[in-house]
Order: sequence, then structure tokens, then C-alpha cells
Amino acid sequence: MNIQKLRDEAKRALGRKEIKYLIGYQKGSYGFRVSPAFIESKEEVDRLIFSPLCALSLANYLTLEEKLPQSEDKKKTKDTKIALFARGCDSRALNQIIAEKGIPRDELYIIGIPCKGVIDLKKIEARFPGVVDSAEVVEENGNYIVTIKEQILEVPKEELLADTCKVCQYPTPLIYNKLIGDKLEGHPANYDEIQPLEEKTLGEKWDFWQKEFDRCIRCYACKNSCPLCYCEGCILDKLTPQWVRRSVDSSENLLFHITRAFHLAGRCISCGECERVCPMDIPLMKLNRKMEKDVKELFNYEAGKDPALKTLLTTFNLEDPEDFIL
Amino acid sequence: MKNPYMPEIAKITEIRDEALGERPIITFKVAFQNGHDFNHKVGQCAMIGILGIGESMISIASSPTKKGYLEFSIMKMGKVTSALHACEAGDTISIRGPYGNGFPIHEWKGKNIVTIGGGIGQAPLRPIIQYILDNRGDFGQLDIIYGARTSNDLCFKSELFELEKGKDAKVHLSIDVEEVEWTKFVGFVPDNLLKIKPSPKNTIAITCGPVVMIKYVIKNLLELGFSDQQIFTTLENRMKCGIGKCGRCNVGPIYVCKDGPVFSYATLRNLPEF
Amino acid sequence: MDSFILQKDKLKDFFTSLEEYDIWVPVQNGIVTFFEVIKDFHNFSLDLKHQALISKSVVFPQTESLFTFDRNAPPQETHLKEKKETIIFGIRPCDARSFQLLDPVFEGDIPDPYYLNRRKKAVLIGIACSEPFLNCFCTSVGGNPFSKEGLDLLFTELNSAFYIEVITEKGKKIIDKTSTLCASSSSEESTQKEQMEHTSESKIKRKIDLNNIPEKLTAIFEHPIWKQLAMKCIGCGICTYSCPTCYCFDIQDETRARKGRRVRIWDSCMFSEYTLHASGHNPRPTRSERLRNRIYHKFKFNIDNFGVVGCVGCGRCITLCPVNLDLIENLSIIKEVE
Repeated sequence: MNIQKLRDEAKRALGRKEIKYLIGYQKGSYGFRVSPAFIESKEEVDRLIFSPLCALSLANYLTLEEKLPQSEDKKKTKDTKIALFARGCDSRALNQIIAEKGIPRDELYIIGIPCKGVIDLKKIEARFPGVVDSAEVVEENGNYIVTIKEQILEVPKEELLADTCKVCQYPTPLIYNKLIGDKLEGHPANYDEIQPLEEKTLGEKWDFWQKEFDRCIRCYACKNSCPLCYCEGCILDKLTPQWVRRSVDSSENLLFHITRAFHLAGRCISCGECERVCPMDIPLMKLNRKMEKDVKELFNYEAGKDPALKTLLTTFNLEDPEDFIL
Repeated sequence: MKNPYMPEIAKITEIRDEALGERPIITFKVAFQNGHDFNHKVGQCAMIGILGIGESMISIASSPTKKGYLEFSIMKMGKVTSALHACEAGDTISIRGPYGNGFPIHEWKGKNIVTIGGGIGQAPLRPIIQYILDNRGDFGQLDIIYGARTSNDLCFKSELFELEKGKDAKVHLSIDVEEVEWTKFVGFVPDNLLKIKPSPKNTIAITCGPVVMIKYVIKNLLELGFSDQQIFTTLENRMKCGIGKCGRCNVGPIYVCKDGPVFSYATLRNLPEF
Repeated sequence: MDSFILQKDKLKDFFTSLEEYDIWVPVQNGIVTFFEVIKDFHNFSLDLKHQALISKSVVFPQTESLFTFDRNAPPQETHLKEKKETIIFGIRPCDARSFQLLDPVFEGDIPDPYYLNRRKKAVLIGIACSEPFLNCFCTSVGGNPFSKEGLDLLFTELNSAFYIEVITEKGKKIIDKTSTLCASSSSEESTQKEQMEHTSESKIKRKIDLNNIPEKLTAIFEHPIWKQLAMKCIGCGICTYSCPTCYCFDIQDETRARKGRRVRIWDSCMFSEYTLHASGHNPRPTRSERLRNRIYHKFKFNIDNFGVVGCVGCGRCITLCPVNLDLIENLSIIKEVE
């Protein structure tokens, strides 16, 4: 993927009258970090980057609670569009949100980027600890070339690749206005990584998750970073009536996470953001991937394939075993 | 060490309907169960609530000169206030306080007082009026300007109509929209204020009510010649602890629960607005 | 100042001889450590990097029951009758400095007995930071990796022993109780410790000059920069929950049939319902107001109210923020803005 082509496309997009701003990636403030970039004018496009370090779902910004604040002269009008970079997983999130009528398709200008996978920040920071100076990574022949100041090091891709990317089925965006880069083949469906957990007994599974969720501090980063969590009166936040207590203990934590997992069943597109952002290292993807596998096996359904695809659990079919919509 | 989070229990001795409609207002009269008294200052508030539901910071609508009971006027708004509205005389409520700085009423002795209230905003002004009436000789002229959307929304109607007839205070009531049988001023409270034109000489003005009303009242008071130090109002914010620790009611460096809710306009002007 | 040596293999005995105390130590749980009362040495960890719920959580727990009630009976206080003394072992020097701010908040005109009760009974034992972490900037806010502020004892990890410095009377008592295990330090050991102290400060890589920040902040309250900085923020509570100087809390009632309790739980000013009024009005409706309030609270209002900057430079908010909202970067931008 040619970064100049990406920046040129961004410039073109920002030149269009109806595009109010563009969401992309820019260099982070230190080391291996990458930050979201909000660009309003063509002159700023040189800030935009795309590298294996870009592990952030930009689609999330479209559905955050008060939608992005806009400066006065660019207030939302009928023809407002927002441009954004979308990798494979991001595009599936967008498809799902569009299918759910969460955001109209014509409000988006999607610059699709086929993605070879992103690096797990924890892994690279463990491999190269203490790096404050801005570092860069490119992928070449199955390896990552890491540049830290004048040092150039080569690391096998498998060592640093994020776990979610190892099983990615859709690296090429499924929806876009413009595609920058060559289309890529995904991995075949593979749920081996959750097999050890699946093979545990019910009691063992309960103990496993109880232990994991005991670490949860209810920071809500998982919920806020998930592109598909955008209900405007999230049941887990509601105070009247209050469904989940704010007190932090095993019972409430389990309730919080199990409720969220169920609300994501048939909607989660496995971007892995929840697990990436969790400060307590809780393996949330195991739960979501299990849901994904079950949904595939039980309903032959995959989320985010097509913006016109009916949603799984909120669509009533005459063939459904229940005879009423509820 | 006294535990400031432990509430006392008080019994509701009387409930009075003040305003009906979508956002009804009632006035509770409560008495402490153990004969305790608050000894509060005019303008202070208390955290009242129901164990199991929560607490809400409500201004004490009666003056400390009234011994043996406290009065609170509560508008039905959220979880706690709805539960309070469902109470009956004889029920108990939890109560913590008194909190807040109160009005500097001792500094106002010898001055004329103008209170300008709107809707439920009359409740924090009521203890000022009661205190003055109980210490009538210590204060000058008392003007009570008060308005609500409709005559049904006016609180403390019977008291105010009584006062209107007497000589202790001048009462200027108003409603926003015309009504049959309403012969007094029709219009917004800030406009009524301009019509009445109270003199700023040796006068203190205190206003309470919807934020929009306060904004225009202050603007008009300044036009009438009142200085920043002569204008007082109360702020409100979401509160939980009531004692300046939980952090949420801050406006700039000050906490509304602890350093307020009473502020002079001179202080308010320097606070960063949200 | 007295200093002693405790051989590392005697640490277990050190704790065993203090059994009249409840000893809180960092215990490994996955990749992070939490402070827990010592039960065995199975998961005990001196890993300062991944200390999750920081040491303040021992005196100011995330969930704390204030009192219980039963509809027909007066409320019953909880916890305040505990008598046992506590030791908190393994505190980072930056976290220890947070008590400089937390103490005046919970004392003041209306003292908070829950916090103060735990605080007064706690002996604070710190571990010096000989290898500061990536985002540490304690030296920019008046601290340093070997700071003794707020601590009763400071342990420095040498090769095979701990170098212990006694800072307060409370700390001295601990050494007196463990005198058979602690030997006086030699001048070599003192020199070694001093050298480590000296080099640790130079290992701090990130710095920022915070002079004039309060004045700058006074001038730019309405500046559009806040909207720009807050665009990235996703409104979670990671920065507040991992911050040693954050103390905002919520109070809620929890009931089950006729019984219940009132709890105090950590809250975050970054959540949208933090200042939501029952009427629906929210004085801080968007993330830009909330981010602005957080920075003002830490770098201006705390100084106005207590004379102490509300940040100890631990760097956790920078490391853990999922979208790279970097406090040091933000403060630099604020300094430069017109």
C-alpha cells in the first residue's frame, strides 16, 4: 500500500465540498503509539500514516455518544459527509451499523485499506522496552522491519502480530468508496484458539471467567471502544431503572460482561478492540469469538458482510421456532 | 469523629400540595425523631432522601427562627424526588446536613431586600422572607417579586396572598400567560422587575429560579444600578456527598455544596462557566 | 536518618514477625498486580510497572460500604470499628506523594472517617524506583524516583538485600519489631544506594516544564483547543481509575427486599452521567468540557484549593489510554496555544 496514494486520496476527499472532515491515523506521541487524526483541510494530509502499528478502530468514532463535535462553520447539514479510513474489520463494523440504521450510508465516504494485520502494542513494547523516541514499522516478506532512531531491526511477523489478526477472514474492506492498495486473501474460518476453553466443563468455564472478571475495574473502555456498542441509553449505564450495580464485585462484573456479550452476539465483527484496550488484560475476545462461532453454526450467519443484510437477532422470520417476535 | 455520611431519620408531619401538573411541587414539614434540631442558617440545604433509593440536595425552605420543624419544597424530577412524592404524612425520610454557606443575612440588617423568584426558585428565598418577618425591625423595605408559568404553578400561594394584604412586605406576583381572573402582572419575571424598578440604594437583591430567568434578572438589576456585590443568587448542580469530597458539583475550583450554593454576582463573574 | 539492611531471603520472615498487622502486598493476577492482604507468598510480586489498582485503593477502596439499613431499623455503620493496624508494602514513591493531595481532601472541615480511619492505621512502605518506566515524569511535578514524601519506610532493592531508610516514627516502630532481622547498613551499601538514586533520576526520559501552567489555564478556558484535544477521547474511565490522585466517587443505595446498604464507589468525571441533572440538563455535555475540567482540576483547581498539583507523574494515564491521549503532549500544546 502506497502511503502517497492514500494521502492523495485523502486530499481529494477533503477537496469535496460535502466532506466536513476525515478520520485517519497519525503518529502517536511516543514510541510505537499511533493516534487517531481528525483532518479538516487538505494542507494537513501529510500527517496521515498507515502502518502495522495502526491498531485502532476508527469506525468507533462515528458512533460515540455525542457524535463528533464539529466547529461552528462546519455544522451538520443535510449533505454532510465524514470521510474515514477503514480496514477489513472496520468495514464490517460499518456494514453492520448501516444495516442496523445506526448511520446512513450516504453520510460516509469510506477509504478502504486492505490490511495485512496490525501489531499488538503490548507485544512490541515487551520486545523493545523503554522506547520513547518515535519508532516506525513496515512489513516486508513476512517480517516486521522496526526502526528505532538509527537502529533497524527485523522481527518475524508472527511474534508481534495481534492475535485477532492471526485469524482474520476479511482483510479487504467489504464496503468502500475508494480502495487504496491490493486486495488480500483472508484466512479460512478457524476457531481453534477457543477450543481449549470449549473443552472445559461448565464448572471450569465458570471458574475461569469468574477469575478473569475479578480483575475488571469497570472502566468501560471495552464498551466505549467497541464500534458496535452505541445505544443511546445503554442498559449498562442506565440509572432509572438500574440494571447493573455500579459496585465492583464478581457478580456485577459478570453481569456486565455477559450482558454485553449477548448484546453483541450476531453483531460483533471481531475487531479485537475490547481486548486491546482492556487495562486488566481480560481475554474478552474468547467470549466474543465463541459467540461468533455459535452464531455461524446455529444460524449460518456472519455479521457485517453486507449493509443490506438483515440483522440476526432483531429480524423475525416465519421459519423461526418462536411464534412471536419477542 | 462524626460520620458525615450517616443520615438522621425525620418524620413527615405534614404534606402540602403547592403546584400540580406534570412537574408537581409539594412542601414537606418534617420533624426529627429524636427531638434534634438543625440550627441551620438561612439559605442552607440538606440531603434528604429515602434509604434504599438515594438522596437529593434540597434547600431548607423554612427559616431557623421556626423551631421544631423544617420545611422542604420538592419538585418531582427524578428517582429520589419521585419516591419522596410518593410519601405520606407519617413516613420517615433520611436527612443529612445542614450544608452550604447560606445567605449572609446578618450583613443585610438595616437594608432593603428584594427577592426575585421564579417557579420552584421561590423555595430557597422563603427562609429569607420568614427570617425578615420574624425580625421585622432589623430590616428595611421588603419587596417580593415572584412569578410562575401559570397560577397553578405558583408556590406558597396562601402565604403570599396573606402578605399582600398586610404592610410587612410588598408582594408583586406574576404569571407568564394571561388567565381569566388574574388581575395582576402578566409577563416574565425579569420584565416585572423592570416595571417595579426597585431602587438600588441600600438594597440587596436575591434571585432564584430557572437559569434563563436569572440571567435576565441579573442583567436588568445591573441596568437598574445594582452593583455586583448587591446581587445574590444560588447555583445548583448534581450532588452526591454534599460535603465537598466526591468532586462532581464543582464550578471551577469551588464546590456548590460546600462553598455555595449562595454566591454574589461579584464571585460568580469570576467563575469559569461550563 | 537511620538505615538498615534486610536480606532478601528474610523478607518472608520480616512479614511473619509483623503478624499483628494486616499486611497488604502486591499480588500477581495475570499481567497486573493488585494489593491484597498477604496470605502466602505464592503470587507476591515486586513488579512496580503493572500495579493496577494503586496503593490508594487500600485506604480508599473502589467499592466501600458506608452503612447497612433495614427498613424498620436505624442505619448501621460498617467497618469503622476495625481495630487492626495495616502495613501497605510495595508503594511506588510517586503514588506515595498522592497522599499529599488525598489527605487534605478527606480531612478538612468535615473529615471523612472511612478514609481517615484506614489512613491513620496504615504504615506505608515504599519501594524505590531504580528503573523508571517509559512514561514516568515524576521529576516534572516535584517528585523523584527515590522520593520519601508520604512514606514511613523506603526500601531500595540492592543485589541481595533491601536497603531500608526509616522516615517516620511509625516506620521506626516496624524496624524495632523486626530488629532481629535487620542489620545496620554499611557505608558501601549506603554508597550503592546513593548511586542508584543518582542514576535513576537521569533515567527519566519524559519531561515537561509546568511553570506558568495555572496562569495559562486561567486565560484559555473558552479556547477551541479543548474541542480539538478531546476529539480522540472515547469517554472511558481508564485515566481516572488508574490515577493515584483521582478521588471522585459516587454514592448509591443497593437493596434486596427490605435490607440494603449505601455504598461509595469510584466514579469518573469522564463519564457523561457524572454531572447529569435529573432534569436532563448536563453542564458538561460533551467530552471536550469533561476533558477540560479534568485538566483544570489537576493543574489549576487543586493548586487553588490545596496548593498541591494534582498529578504525581506516574504516567499510567499515558500508558493505558487506548487512543493515545497523552497528558504530556496535551500540556505542551496548551503551553504553546495563543
